[in-house]
Amino acid sequence: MLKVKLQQSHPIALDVDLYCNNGEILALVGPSGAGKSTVLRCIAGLHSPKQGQISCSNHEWFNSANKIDLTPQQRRIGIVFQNYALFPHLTVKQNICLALDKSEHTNTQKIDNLLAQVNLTGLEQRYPEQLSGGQQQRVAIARALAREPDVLLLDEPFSAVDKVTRRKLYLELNSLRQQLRMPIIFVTHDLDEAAMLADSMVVLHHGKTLQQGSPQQIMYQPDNVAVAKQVDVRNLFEGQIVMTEEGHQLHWHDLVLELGDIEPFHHQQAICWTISPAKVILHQRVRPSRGEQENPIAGQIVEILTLRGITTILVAVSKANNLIIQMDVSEHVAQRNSLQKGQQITMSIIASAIHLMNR
Amino acid sequence: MQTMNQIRAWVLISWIVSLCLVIPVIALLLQSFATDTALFKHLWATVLTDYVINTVQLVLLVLLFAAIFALPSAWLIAMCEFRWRKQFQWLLMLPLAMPAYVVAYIYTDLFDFSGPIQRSMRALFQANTPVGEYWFFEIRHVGGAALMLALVLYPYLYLIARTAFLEQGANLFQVSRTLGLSPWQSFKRVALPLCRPAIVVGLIFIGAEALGDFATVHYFAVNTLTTAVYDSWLGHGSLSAAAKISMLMLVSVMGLLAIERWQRGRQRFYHKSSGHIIRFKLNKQQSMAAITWCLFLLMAGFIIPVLILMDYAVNYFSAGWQDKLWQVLLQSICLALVAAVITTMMAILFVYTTRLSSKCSTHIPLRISMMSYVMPSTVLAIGVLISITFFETSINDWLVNLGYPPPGLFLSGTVFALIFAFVVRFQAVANGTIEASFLNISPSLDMASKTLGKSNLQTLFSVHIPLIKKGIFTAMLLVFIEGMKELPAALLLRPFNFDTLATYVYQFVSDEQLEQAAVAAILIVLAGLIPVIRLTQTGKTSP
Repeated sequence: MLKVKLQQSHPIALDVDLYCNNGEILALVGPSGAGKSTVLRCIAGLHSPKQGQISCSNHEWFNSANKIDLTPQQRRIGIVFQNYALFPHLTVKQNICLALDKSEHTNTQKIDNLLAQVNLTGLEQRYPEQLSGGQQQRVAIARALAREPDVLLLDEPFSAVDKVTRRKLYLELNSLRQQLRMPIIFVTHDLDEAAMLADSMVVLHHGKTLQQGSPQQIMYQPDNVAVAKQVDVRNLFEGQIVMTEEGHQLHWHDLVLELGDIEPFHHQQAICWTISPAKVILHQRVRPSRGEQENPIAGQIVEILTLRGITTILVAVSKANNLIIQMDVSEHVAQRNSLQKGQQITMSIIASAIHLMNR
Repeated sequence: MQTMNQIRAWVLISWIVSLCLVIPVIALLLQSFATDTALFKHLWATVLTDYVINTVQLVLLVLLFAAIFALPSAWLIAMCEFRWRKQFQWLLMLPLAMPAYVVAYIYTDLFDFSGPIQRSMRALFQANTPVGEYWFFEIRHVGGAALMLALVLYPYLYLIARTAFLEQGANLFQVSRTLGLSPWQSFKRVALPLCRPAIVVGLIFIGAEALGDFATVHYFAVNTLTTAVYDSWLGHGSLSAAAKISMLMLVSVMGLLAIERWQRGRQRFYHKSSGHIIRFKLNKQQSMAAITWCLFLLMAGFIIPVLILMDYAVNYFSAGWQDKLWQVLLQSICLALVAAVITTMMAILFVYTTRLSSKCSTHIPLRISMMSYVMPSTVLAIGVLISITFFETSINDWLVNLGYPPPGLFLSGTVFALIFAFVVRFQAVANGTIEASFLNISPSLDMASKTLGKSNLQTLFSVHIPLIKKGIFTAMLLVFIEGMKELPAALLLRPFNFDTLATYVYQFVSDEQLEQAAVAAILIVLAGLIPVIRLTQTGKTSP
């Protein structure tokens, strides 16, 4: 297990606290300049933070209090850089050999195994410039694994390849993690990529850990507005909690919405709330459902967009100051209900799907 | 904290080596405040004022001539379309390869009373007039020296101005054309004001070169501050007076460089465009005029001197191929090669150290080591002389105090002084090339190597050096060529009976016998052509 705690105020402010279990993939997400790559470099020993601790499988790599700071050479790190950082003057095999001790250079079995592990058998005599982007990335992974690292770090590993190659590489990384029993940390600014590949996510902003959790938690139940904004949560609104004899309610402009559990919030508290666009229920003309009884809202469609079978509908809610609610329905539902721009519709905000946050 | 310790060792070595390179500057500074001022006061009271006036005159005239030569050519090549434009684009750089004192000798020979031009004129007009009875351009004068220097230095300004015109060109000059301006009006009203900062940078560089010239002005018997330094040291043996005059020159150069820096800063505010350039198409007469102008510069600055040198070489072939030439050539090659190897190794040390940490302290040695490049060679040589003399005196005193016999002057008067001066002088050349090569290597390769278990030294040898092989070769080549051409420092610091190719040629020039050293002079020109060719290749950006 890798545990990382970092603090410094300059040159880049850091206040990081994260962990990653063996065999788990952790995604570091955040906007450009959030400090994702710096955190990776701190773990690799390429940058020494002012304060903090980094330990891996109970070995201390960095401890500012005890003045421990192992060099990158001593940490047994496998790192794959954004541009792969393959040595252009060396062949695939030589690139991998550079990571091995001299005594291992003749160990062709090990090199062959590494190449086979990343599906590169037969390309060992090629130079990096003779490889495609995907192949280069595989060489970088094989080279990173050659030292039998304790941790594998991937710095935006998919940003330099096209979409088709990227999809293939997603699958390969997924199968690789089954074979590797080590923590894998990868940096990305693509939330979908992080949600698809990672077991857990850490949201970083201005060098600070905002939240660590599963992709589901981060995307649909962010701890606070800052996280919600970082992960581009749709339908983010402000409201107030009111407790009545009938139960908990959310006052949102002129609308009153029923709420489920409100812990740890209290009566009259001003909060932010969000609901996943997939959980806003459209009242269908042809197929009414029981859910329609729950928090019904009327609005006017202001935009309809369809992409890969999902129709995104933006609805202006007149009783909420014409604020826009986003709703995602399957394309065939949109077609069956003949949804059109300007059309008046009704929808339901399911109480259990409303997520409350501090402002 | 082992990472930091590894880096500290590199930084410490860099600092020590770079400080060794600034010793001549410090020594010069200290010596210039020395109390031995009798000679300096005498010079100041008698001739120094004239020397200063001559120097200012020389620099201003060189700048004027260089601007006249370079700016119209740069404009024509960058912005006008005419026959052989592409060829002239690089041919106009060739005069850079010519040593000014060789050109000076050749033109003096041509324009003197007994030279072929005046002889032909007298024959034409059937006049048998003695010297002084008719007017003819006097070449052995400050104006003549300035003209010779400008002929070989103008390519610096030409290159900078051409680049500036091209960068400004694409959009703004097209706009000026749509506003109805002619090529001349565009040049005067748009190009010159826009490119002024770049032009000033080029002029200042030429000014600094002119200020530091010794051989040409000495040949023309024009006394400037540089010749005063030589006279003070070689004539009167006063290192202190030489140091004081050197300091005066150094301050002048620093002043010029301060202006250059200021102008470079201003350049940032100027527009740079990268669009396709639509050139002014010159008509037949204009094309002829442009070709004539470019041809004149090429002939005057390169072809005529080279043809005459070749004529000398053929006619005086047996005199030119002496055993001494081979010896001098070998000495020059060895000297330049040693300087090239040392400077390149040091450049790798300085530049690699800057990659290890972004801290300011890791970058200072690189910058310090480049400081001496701004010093004119003569000034630097005096600095080297002072520092070596001080070192030897200290060692002698120390050994005498310990009861041992003093070893005497064991460094000055040896090639060590010369190599030291060359290394200090050309360190910036090597640094620049090596730094550019390192910049092409992504920092992530360093990080990758370290995470693969390689130490800084292993990373340098297994990753960087193979990747910057070409840069290392170029750095060594450039320093080698500079070393082959260097004259003022070699004249002041060479051991007895030791000549380099440049001092060998200069000796014949000053004895009015260049004919006998024509082969050696051609070798210097050939060596000088290599960086010019490289410069034209890297500068081939315009279509």
